[in-house]
Amino acid sequence: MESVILSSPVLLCGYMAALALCVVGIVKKTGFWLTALSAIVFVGTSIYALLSGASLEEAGIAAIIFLCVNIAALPRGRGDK
Amino acid sequence: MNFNSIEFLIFLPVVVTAYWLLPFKARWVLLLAASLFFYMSWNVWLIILIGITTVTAYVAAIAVSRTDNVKLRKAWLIATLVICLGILIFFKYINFLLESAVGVIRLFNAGQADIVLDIILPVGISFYTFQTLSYVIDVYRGDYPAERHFGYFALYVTYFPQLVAGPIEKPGTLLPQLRTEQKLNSDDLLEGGKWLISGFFRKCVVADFCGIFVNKVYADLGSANALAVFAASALFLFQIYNDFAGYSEIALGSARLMGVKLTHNFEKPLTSASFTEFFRRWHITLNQWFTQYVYIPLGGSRCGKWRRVLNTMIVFALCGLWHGANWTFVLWGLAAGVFVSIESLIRRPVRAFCNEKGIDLQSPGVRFIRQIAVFMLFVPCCILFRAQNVAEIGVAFTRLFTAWGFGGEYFAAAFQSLGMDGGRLIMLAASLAGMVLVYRLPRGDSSPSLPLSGGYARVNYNCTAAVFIYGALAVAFCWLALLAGSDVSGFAYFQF
Repeated sequence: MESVILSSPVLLCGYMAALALCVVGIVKKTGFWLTALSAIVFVGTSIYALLSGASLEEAGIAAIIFLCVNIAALPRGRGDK
Repeated sequence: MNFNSIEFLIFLPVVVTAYWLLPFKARWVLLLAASLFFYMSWNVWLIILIGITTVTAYVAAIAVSRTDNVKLRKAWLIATLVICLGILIFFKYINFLLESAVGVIRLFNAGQADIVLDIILPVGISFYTFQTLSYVIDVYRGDYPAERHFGYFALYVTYFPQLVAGPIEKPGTLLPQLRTEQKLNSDDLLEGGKWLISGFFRKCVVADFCGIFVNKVYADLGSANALAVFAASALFLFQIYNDFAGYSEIALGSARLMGVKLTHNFEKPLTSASFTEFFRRWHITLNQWFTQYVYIPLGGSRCGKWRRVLNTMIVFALCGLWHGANWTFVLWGLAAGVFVSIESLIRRPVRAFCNEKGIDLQSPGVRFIRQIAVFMLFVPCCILFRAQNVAEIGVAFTRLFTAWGFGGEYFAAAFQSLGMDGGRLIMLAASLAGMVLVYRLPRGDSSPSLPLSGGYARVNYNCTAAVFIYGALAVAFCWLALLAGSDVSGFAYFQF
């Protein structure tokens, strides 16, 4: 089964942009607006992907990747000293 | 009403909202009504059975607490055990016992016809029976005072988050919380939400997805090669773990939204470095129940070496039988018991040997090797748990030990048996990566020990919000995908 997301430059760009915004928000420790913008781009891209014929499984994989990135970025230690 | 159903997604917010809107004195009525509604959604008549168990335990505990006469107290306890276990045995095991008896009779009389009673298996009967028994035994031992308020006691037995698949709560951990006025606070809501996201992810993404491959191989074991059988059994271990841990986490999350903290049922069991450790981390509340109410009364580990082994084997056989009325479960329990017993027998010599050679059993490298060994040994045990009957176990082990090979064709055949393609392999990898990471979510690992400030607080806030968004999306997409393929399944532990 050929991947709709991987074969569409627009979708790839959308997800990459969402991921970049998400990572920048984490690295730069910005306010919530960047995370919210990333989520909006992600949701928009996912809707477009589904309308373009991507399977729910494909969209699910993308969501899992974003979920993993955000869980991994949750602070663990003693925080800001 | 399964947890992974639209009905529950409507039911839970309605109950939680009503719970916080009502005054404290009316909350137990709401929760009891909601719990009974939740239970009756499977079958209205099942309420009679849980009612008998509840009334029996309530009356017996009060009777036990009112008298100092040892014989009378014991008589009440035995009567409760007979009634509650009698109901459990009749509804869960009667056909198994009849089938086994017919099997023995057929050795002498081949013409013996099957005897099967048309009985439904009440949902969660093993869980609420064990929880009720723990209450009566604790009252009998003087560890907990008898509950006088029938409403609160009925709520303790039927509390909907943990009614049908645990955790099996001791009265001392749940009843006082139900009786205490809970205050609405954001920490509880946040933690509850994290447990829910983690639980739904485990169930709707990881467990159900692994189940697709497992079902495919086990539907045609005869044509699967050893690699496919081993991979399917390993995936079954992931499936059953995430299915049950997912259920437990949804239960924890649902209760936490109402301020109640249930007991953790799983503590990273797949990272265990020994079988003893594995069963200390797997289905913790059940194993504690068997330890406290069966293993220790039998003599526990404070007796001779071989008596200890016998006690272990008895407990594990019962634990296997608790899981289901089938010889496959008894065999699984016995296999687990053998591994745990062997460990207890060789523990001292192994420690002495390692001390002599300067090997640290807890060092990361050695621990990793031990973890791999436990996993590799436990996967074949999963065949016993997954197989429908003893004949299927025979086929699976025959394939596992004989159908070996190597090369491109062999791997391709294994992939074909599993129904695996490139897309599904990526999906599986993503699911398992998610499974590893969701460990971090609700267990306090993600809550730093000191309050965060500045940038870290912002990252914590942003990532937590993002986890809810992407977690909900991941669960929704995968659940809908599985629903479209009719691959959504109920919770495996409901049958227990």
